[in-house]
Amino acid sequence: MAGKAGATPTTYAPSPTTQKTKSLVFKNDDVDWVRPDKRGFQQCRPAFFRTGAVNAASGSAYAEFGNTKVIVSVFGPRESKKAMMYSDVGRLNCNVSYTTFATPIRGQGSDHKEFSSMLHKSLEGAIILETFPKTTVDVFALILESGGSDLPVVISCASVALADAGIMMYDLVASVSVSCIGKNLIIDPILEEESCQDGSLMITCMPSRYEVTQLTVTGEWSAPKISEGVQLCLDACSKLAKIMRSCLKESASSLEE
Amino acid sequence: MVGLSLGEKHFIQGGIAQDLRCDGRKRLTYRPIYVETGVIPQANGSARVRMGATDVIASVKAELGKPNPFQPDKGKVSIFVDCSPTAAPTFEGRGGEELSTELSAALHRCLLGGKSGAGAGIDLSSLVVVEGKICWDLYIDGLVVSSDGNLLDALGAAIKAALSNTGIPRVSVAASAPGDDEPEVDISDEEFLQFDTSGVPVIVTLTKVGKHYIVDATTEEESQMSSAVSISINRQGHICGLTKRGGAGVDPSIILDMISVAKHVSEQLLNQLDSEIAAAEAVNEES
Amino acid sequence: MKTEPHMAEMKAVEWASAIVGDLKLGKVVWLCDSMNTVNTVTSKEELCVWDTFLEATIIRGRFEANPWTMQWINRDQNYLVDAFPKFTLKNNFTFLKFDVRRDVISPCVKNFLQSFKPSFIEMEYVSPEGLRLDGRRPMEMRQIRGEIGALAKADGSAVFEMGNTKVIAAVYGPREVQNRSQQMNEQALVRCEYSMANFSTGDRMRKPKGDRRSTEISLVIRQAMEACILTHLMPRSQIDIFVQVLQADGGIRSACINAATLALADAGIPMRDLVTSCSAGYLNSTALLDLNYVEDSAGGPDVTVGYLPKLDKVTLLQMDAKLPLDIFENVMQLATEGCKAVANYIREILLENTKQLESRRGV
Repeated sequence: MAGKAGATPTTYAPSPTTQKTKSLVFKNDDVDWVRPDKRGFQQCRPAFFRTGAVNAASGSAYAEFGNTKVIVSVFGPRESKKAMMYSDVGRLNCNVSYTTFATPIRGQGSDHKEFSSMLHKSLEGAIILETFPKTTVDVFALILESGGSDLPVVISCASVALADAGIMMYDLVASVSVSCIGKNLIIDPILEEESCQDGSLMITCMPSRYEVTQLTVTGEWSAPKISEGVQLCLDACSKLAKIMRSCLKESASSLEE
Repeated sequence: MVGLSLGEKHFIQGGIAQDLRCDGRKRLTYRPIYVETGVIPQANGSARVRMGATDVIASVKAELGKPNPFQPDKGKVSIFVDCSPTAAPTFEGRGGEELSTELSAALHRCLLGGKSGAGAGIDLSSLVVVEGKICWDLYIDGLVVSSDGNLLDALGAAIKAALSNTGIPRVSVAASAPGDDEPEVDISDEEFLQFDTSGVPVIVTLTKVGKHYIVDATTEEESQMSSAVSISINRQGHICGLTKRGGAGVDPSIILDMISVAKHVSEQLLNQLDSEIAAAEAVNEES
Repeated sequence: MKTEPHMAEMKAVEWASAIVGDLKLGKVVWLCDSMNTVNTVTSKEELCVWDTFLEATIIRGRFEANPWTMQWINRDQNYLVDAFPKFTLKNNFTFLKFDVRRDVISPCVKNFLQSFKPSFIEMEYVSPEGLRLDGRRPMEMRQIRGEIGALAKADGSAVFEMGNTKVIAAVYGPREVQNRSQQMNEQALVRCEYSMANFSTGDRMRKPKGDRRSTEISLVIRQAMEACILTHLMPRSQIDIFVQVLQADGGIRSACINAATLALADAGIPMRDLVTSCSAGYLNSTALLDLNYVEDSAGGPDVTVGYLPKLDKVTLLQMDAKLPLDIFENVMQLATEGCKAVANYIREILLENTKQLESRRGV
């Protein structure tokens, strides 16, 4: 750099490639609109799961769906703090938090305080609580980067972590969300698509038992649209469950070796 | 509350299976609803709704503020529900906080639609005064005074009644030089604009006990539920929000069935609510 | 550079003359208690001041352009304007708005104020005919209304209104103690929580619970009720009193205690006597009963009394600000009279309620 006087700029300027385009140019009836990451409307992002991310926990998992990166650790079954209150079923305690660097604007993730209770509701239908009376299972989820469709990724990752911890469940819990933009239904939205969506539908289900543990709909939907969205999500969930199962089998077989 | 004995539990479940509930209602009948509007004089709009022993008060306050930079042509609405300890001793101190956040989030979802604002029950663009600079901030506060089940429906009805009672003062903007950051506004004390609430949806909660669903569950019936679905439907029959609460898994076809049942029930509820609100407003006008 | 008194005087006259000039009132007579200032403004000689030269020139110019005159008056006679800065200094305000026009245009107002001592300026809380801001007489209470059994789920509940202040109280108990460490073997544990609704005050409150004022009022209500509940009859149990304020317009403490008494009676909890409460204050040299929010925020003294009517005993006594001792006795007496009136009303309500219960039982 020293020899090239005059070629290098004297002041530092950020390179233009760091500028991200904010608003999606989008019209309501645009059927040919291409998603920013070139996926089809009904195509999910490639999913990646890895168990055993946290050594200190009873079970843990790391999930990466495109830009959304989540790590979940499970502690338990541990002795209940309120030992006086005898209960013949176990207790589940969930906590979801964002890191401060997870969102493009620092510290914005705290809008989603209800994610902890939603995670609780999704999982409590799947865990066999009678197998660990008087004890508590703690599930802690940390969202490292928020790239859209955060809660479904957290729920799927949590169920892999619970399986890794050896907690008895009726079935793996898979979760997918669908976004409605104009007339189109877009599965597994990313952050930019979520911010301009007209409505969203999130399903958490147990694929082998074909049961839905949680369903949340936002925005205005007509009944046939909802059934279409539900059907889409259920198909996607069963495929996601296969991926989760294969990941668990891999980790189990690598342990045996 | 004292727990239910085994005999009582069987009684409730058996009764629901035979379409006869503990207080004599059918499965899809609501308790009698009493609506009073204008209960809080200092607020811009307020209402009190009683469904059996469930008693909730909703109030709407409007303040001038700056709109969101991402949505300069829309006002802002924030919903906050507080569970008073008079409703249950467990709500003392911070005990009621979890239920409060859950109710606030569910109401937010049902009334305010998607992020882009489509499908919102409240028309946010009617709240803007000067685009990009000044808009109305609506603070909707709910207070649960007494709880006997079905809080979400009661809160939804109370908010609808409070919004129809709301009068936003007329604002005249003084002509200001361009580039002025804070244009002068004059809030009139006399004239009020009534809020348009024909688009505000109503919330119907269906509770599944055994194989059947009931509407407007009391606390005892809620303790026996396997799952509950709260659906927010507006006058056109469109679904503005759906939340499934409660543990057990449910077959997806059952959810779709619940949606159609809810649509049917919501028509009756909307009519009943509208007539009650109109009656309450008429009482207000006379006094 | 420190401002000398005569400089301050000149600056003040300059500022005032600018405002009066804009008002275009015609003939104005300026009364000043500083001979120095009067001489500087009115003398026809050339100005020989040096530190207030600018102000003096401006003032002289204005006086010549307008039909104004300036006269000297004795300092004692100038009490109105003199008292104003004295009040400011005494109460550590930095700014107090005073309506200049009122003093200039209506001398009859000035005559009325002559009857007051020049110790501090007061807003009119009691009109010369003896009516308060909301039309009540000084010894008159606001309209009270009470209702028992508002909440079906609570063991005892009541709604109490004093004017625009509306409070709902619920009692749960006696029941098992939730926190074993607090259990008392000889008596019942009385707990109280006070919370205000978001919409109860004019400006929306952010945090309904947990702030210091709520904690203090919870403590006050608890101590007042605990003294009169026969706690030794219910050992190892807990009585919860929850008070929720729906509308706040002054006298909240009193309304809460009255509502709690009604709720405890509705719950059937044995008490020595009814606890009634009322507040009184002292404004414009008159003792006022049952202050509302505007009178309360005037900054004058506010005495709250909690009283047991049958036993003729005082269980709660609180006061803000300060009062001379003889006036305090008057005000406290007035508040006690208010409590007696509330007690009569409460007794009527309870009697009515019992009659209804009897008729429902078929007696």
